[in-house]
Amino acid sequence: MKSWTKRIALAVLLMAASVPAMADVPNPNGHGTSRSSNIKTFMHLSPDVRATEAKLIIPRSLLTELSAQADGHDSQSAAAVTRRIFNMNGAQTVMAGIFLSLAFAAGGLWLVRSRVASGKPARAALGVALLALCGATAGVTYANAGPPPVARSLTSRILIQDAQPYGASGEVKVEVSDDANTVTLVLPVKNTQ
Amino acid sequence: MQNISGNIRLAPYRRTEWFAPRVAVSFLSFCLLAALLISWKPIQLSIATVFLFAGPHNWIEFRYFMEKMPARWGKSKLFYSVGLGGVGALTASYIALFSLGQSWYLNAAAWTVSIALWNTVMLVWLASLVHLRAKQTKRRDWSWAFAAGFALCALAWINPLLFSLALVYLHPLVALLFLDRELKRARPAWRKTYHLCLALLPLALVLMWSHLIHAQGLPVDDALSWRITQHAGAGILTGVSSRLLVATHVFLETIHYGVWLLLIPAIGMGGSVWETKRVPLASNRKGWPRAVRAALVCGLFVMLALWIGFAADYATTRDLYFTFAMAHVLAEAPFLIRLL
Repeated sequence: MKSWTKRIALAVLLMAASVPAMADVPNPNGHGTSRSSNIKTFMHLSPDVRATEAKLIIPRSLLTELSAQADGHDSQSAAAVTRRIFNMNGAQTVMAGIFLSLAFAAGGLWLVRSRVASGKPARAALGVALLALCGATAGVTYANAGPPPVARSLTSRILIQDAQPYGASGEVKVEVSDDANTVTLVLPVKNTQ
Repeated sequence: MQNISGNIRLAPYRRTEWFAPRVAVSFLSFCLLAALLISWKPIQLSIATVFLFAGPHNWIEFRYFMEKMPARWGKSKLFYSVGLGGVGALTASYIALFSLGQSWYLNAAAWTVSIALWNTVMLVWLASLVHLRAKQTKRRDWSWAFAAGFALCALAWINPLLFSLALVYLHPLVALLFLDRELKRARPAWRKTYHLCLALLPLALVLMWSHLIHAQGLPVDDALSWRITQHAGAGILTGVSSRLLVATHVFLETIHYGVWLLLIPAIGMGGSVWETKRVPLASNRKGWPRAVRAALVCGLFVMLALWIGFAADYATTRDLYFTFAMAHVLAEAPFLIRLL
């Protein structure tokens, strides 16, 4: 009976540690490539029943302003550096996973070995801290389950509250307008059923 | 027995028994003054501090390590073999990696994987040293070392460049650990004051950051300024002001130099760095006193050569220095673990 309790406790602990790995963590790569700009403007989200595709309208004056401020080569190289720093390739993910497993195994061995020694609470706390570290690092291995379908295309559905935790992404047609005064994102209105 | 306990209770409380105001005031004044000056002119002070203190602090470290090195390794043979062998192998591989990176033999992906691999070998080496030291001393349970080492390896693979940058910022703080060990040995009465100073050190950093967080990035008009900002991580932490990054790095390096050049010689070496009586390799009956003196003199010549190099071509010498100086960064590990 006692051994079953231990096994269940261990299983619960493992599941708790694996939660961040299965969580749908938004990919931070999407947020890392932008550089700060001093230019601020208004943006309007416009659901449009007649639109057939998402469309981003940028005022030409704003585009000219942006072009004047940004040095094209500098922006590209900065974006490339950011991609290089925050993107993980397959080898990195595999190696990080292997070392997390080794850390977990070595930590378990250490806990088992020091079980009979004094100072149990402190060691247990350290073990939990190590587990939390494993969980935290597992969280950033980007085990993305993917957002729900509603957040995979740019339609008026992204305005509902359920889609907000995921954000939304999808194809957008970019237009530069001489007449527009604000940045406008036109979202085709689609029936929810 | 009762009389003794009565005397202990009646003994007047002496503030100076644990609190050393001169030490606290000197240490904190130095830190605050350094923080102010460095926030004002980070690039200039980065150039000046490396020029003036990089070589001398390496020489003092070399002298300190000689003092801590036993003449006969005895039961510590494996520990020192792994420690010094690791320093040699890791330094050589780091120099090779740097050379390949400079000559464009490695593309960005290969460079990232190579750095991660190097960090992994270094972490496993450190964990092995802790394990070997733990086998020698039975006082503490250090079997957690491999668990922590592997967890750090995972971090090193998740983001190798950020991990390497973290090492750049953490290395200066290692000197503070050495100082703590020396205080414990030679001036235990100052130790609590020192810990108090350490607790206040983040305050100096917070003051510096609050002043520089919205500061404009440093102008990188020349190759040297660009190199200094890159060394401080401006190419990695693009969202942070490069002025803040450089100032923080120079501040930590200045503390590092101050500890090695002033405090450790004064406390740990009895004020005289030329005395070789306390160097086991020189004073031991089977030691090599001439070789020790020759090594120290050679160190002085290297220091002089470094100054000449800085004066002739500062940027290139700085690059070379920080590549070869990896040896002293690594050498600190076995000697510090040995002192624990």
